[in-house]
Amino acid sequence: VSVETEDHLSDDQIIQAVVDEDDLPAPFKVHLSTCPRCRAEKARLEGDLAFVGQLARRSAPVLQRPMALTAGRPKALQWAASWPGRMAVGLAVSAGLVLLLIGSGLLRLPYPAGVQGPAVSPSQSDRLMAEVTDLVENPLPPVYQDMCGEPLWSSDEGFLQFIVPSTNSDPLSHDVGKKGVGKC
Amino acid sequence: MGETEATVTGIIQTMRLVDRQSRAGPSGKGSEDMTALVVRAKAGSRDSLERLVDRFQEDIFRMAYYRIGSRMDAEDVTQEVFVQVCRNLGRLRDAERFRAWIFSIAVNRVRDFHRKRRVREVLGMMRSRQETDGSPGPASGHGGPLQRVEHQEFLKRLRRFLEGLSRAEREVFQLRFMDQLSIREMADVLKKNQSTIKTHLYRALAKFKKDPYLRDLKGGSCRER
Repeated sequence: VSVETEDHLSDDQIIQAVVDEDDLPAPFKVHLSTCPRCRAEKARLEGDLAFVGQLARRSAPVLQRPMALTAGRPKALQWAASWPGRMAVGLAVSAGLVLLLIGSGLLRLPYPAGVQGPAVSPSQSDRLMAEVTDLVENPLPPVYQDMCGEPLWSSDEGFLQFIVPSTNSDPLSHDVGKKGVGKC
Repeated sequence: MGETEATVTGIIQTMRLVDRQSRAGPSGKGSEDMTALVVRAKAGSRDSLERLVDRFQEDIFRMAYYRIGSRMDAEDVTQEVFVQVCRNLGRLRDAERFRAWIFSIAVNRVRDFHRKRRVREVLGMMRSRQETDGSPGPASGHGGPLQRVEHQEFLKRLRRFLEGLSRAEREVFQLRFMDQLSIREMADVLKKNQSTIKTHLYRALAKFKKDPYLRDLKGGSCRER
């Protein structure tokens, strides 16, 4: 392609030069290096883009909270703080409590065969079951449940982390998941 | 033409100076080699790690802010980025690529933020901070009233321009011209090859060149359109 001084670079070639001048075909590169008009055109576009960057710096708010430099909790603690971790910890604590109560004799297991439990009159248990059935079959309307109860999903960060696990892939790291690597 | 060229060259030089100063950190530690700092931090130097945080916290915060639109949420994301940097620095292969590495962490955290926001919206537990912290407007107390108007006008035009780009074009435009990353760094951050990055960048610039709305700001015109 013959490039004369009068044949200035097109808009597309100017953009290509701004993206990466080395990608321009050699004749255009030579032209660009010698033509003040094309150089000025390229510099103008670069200047506009630099100005956008400058304004972006000036227009962003100032960071008000200094970054705390912590390594975070150890992995075991992180897991325990997560939503499934909390469930597991809760179950373990409950089981431990039950065992403790049984061990201390405060909680008695169902009566062995042949031993009678306390007598409960059939009318009492019938009355209780009737009350339970009544409550189950006639719950509060949803609007009252919203007013007086906890929402089904709380805005819990751990729960969200469970639903939406973090993206951790990056190509510049190695030893991902290896124990004892990179802890500070 | 000569005068215009000189003005543009001046702006570019100023930008480069600002860029160098911002990378040097708030206390002017420009001469310090960042790679050496990363190597020392990897070896366990707390002081070096703190200096790295000093150098990058504003850049990462700004990057998050322009993608999230809320100062408080951007601060949270920035904090998460540095916790992850602190935890995983030992896994960084090449200390010279620390900048790309930290930006790739930030990009992932911002994506996580948006995914969580979508889940919150679905579950009806969205709590918008945009209403409370005045974002995405400029910082309160940041310059005089005229400057604030200029900032708001810039943000409005920027948002409008970015909305006209595809997701990939927007990503590369922001990383290149707002976060000042090189083509190679962008390729690392976005896990794409350099020619793909250049293609997206080329398309974004073609739209930028045709869109006078944002470019007009340089002439100081803040008139309403």
